[in-house]
Amino acid sequence: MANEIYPVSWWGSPVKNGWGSIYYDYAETLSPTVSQYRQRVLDDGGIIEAIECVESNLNL
Amino acid sequence: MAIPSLAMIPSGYKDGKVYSVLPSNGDGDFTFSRGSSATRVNKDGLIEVLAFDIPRLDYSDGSCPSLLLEGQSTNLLPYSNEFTNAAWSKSSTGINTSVGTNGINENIAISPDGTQNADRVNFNLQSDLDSGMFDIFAASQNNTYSTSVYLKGEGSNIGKKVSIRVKRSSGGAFTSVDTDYTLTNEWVRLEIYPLTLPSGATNGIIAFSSSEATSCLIYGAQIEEQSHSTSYIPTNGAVATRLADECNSAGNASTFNDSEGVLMVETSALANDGTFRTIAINGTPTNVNEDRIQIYFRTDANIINFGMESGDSAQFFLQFPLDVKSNNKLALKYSASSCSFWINGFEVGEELNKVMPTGLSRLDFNLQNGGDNFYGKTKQVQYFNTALTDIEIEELSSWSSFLEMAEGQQYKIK
Repeated sequence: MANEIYPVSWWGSPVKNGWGSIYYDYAETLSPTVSQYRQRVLDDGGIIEAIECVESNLNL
Repeated sequence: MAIPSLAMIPSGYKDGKVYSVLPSNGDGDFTFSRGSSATRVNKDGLIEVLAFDIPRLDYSDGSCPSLLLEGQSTNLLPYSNEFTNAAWSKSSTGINTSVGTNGINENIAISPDGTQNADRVNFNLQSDLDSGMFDIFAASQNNTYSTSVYLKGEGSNIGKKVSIRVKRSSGGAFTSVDTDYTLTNEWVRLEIYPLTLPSGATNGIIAFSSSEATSCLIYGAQIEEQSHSTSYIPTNGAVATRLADECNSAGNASTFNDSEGVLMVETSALANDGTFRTIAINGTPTNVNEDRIQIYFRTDANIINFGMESGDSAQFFLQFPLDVKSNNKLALKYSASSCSFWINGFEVGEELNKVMPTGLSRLDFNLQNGGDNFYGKTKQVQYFNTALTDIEIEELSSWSSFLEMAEGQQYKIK
């Protein structure tokens, strides 16, 4: 398609520390333990915040 | 590094519960209660009101939140954010009453809660600290009162001073705390040195004036009968009370090892307020004998304490100097042959050949009997059911990078 931006830029491809970081989905890179924790909280009707802090503090 | 058998890093919560990351079956989740609403600074840096029994993950100290636990407190100013109200008297000597509503432009700016509800106070420049905008609050002799308020400058008033006087209203010897604050272009919560009313004094007065700034933005005034200011308690026509947070009952007998283990916490005290505040692995509440491992603040200022009790017999209660209002990583290792104590990666003490407690079954932000509630900001709690090696504890209780240490201790890097 003419003027397609995706193949020639980072548009739509946010990275953890850098371009588009505010759109970065931390859930994509969580360890199994933290990912399981996140899912347990959500399944129980809880709220998850700052999940990246869990990953950085737990030395798994 | 061993895997903790219980790990709570503030990130998951709901009504009545603080989730622990480990164990994965939920046995390590904390029961939480607070019988009133309360405020926090949310991840966007804005003040947010949370309902009854909702734990507060507070971001005022950085991008990773703390679990904020506070005691009960009352805002004694009935109109904390309605400065047009007649409860706030305006002296035409110190207030330019020809502007706005008797000197106040109501809801003129975006406040620290993110809505347009901050007022502007317009001053007549003069140096009498009693002639400005003031309110009288209920107070009693010999009690101590702490004041906080959000202020912000605009335009040419940035860099100029506003004066705040807190004093006794009548009776007793004249006593006041006078503070000059230089306005900036950002909202700043000004926490004023506490005032203790002298014998014979009745009630108190808070007064705002300026000899330099023609105006300032103002939000969220608060006076509490405390030795320190606590989180903002909004009022709207009457004094309001935030009830105490309680957080406890994580884990069970299978979580904890009576013979050996490590308790690690990363936390800070809210104040040196002369009270006991404990994080403990406790025995069962019905056990008449006290068995526990604890890390706690007590009456002495800037002292951290490590303790162990076995069958009502004190094994050790040790004290170490520490700036307790800073964020610190603390660890206690216990085993029959050796107990050791760690602060920010350094071993600070050791006790040999102690009797181990029995029946350890719950991690609480208080003592076994429900006393000594812990009030502070906690960034993590981890428990290991084996005695880690010194190298492992050093790593666990150290900062992993210069940046983490700087952020954890709230240094400003220039």
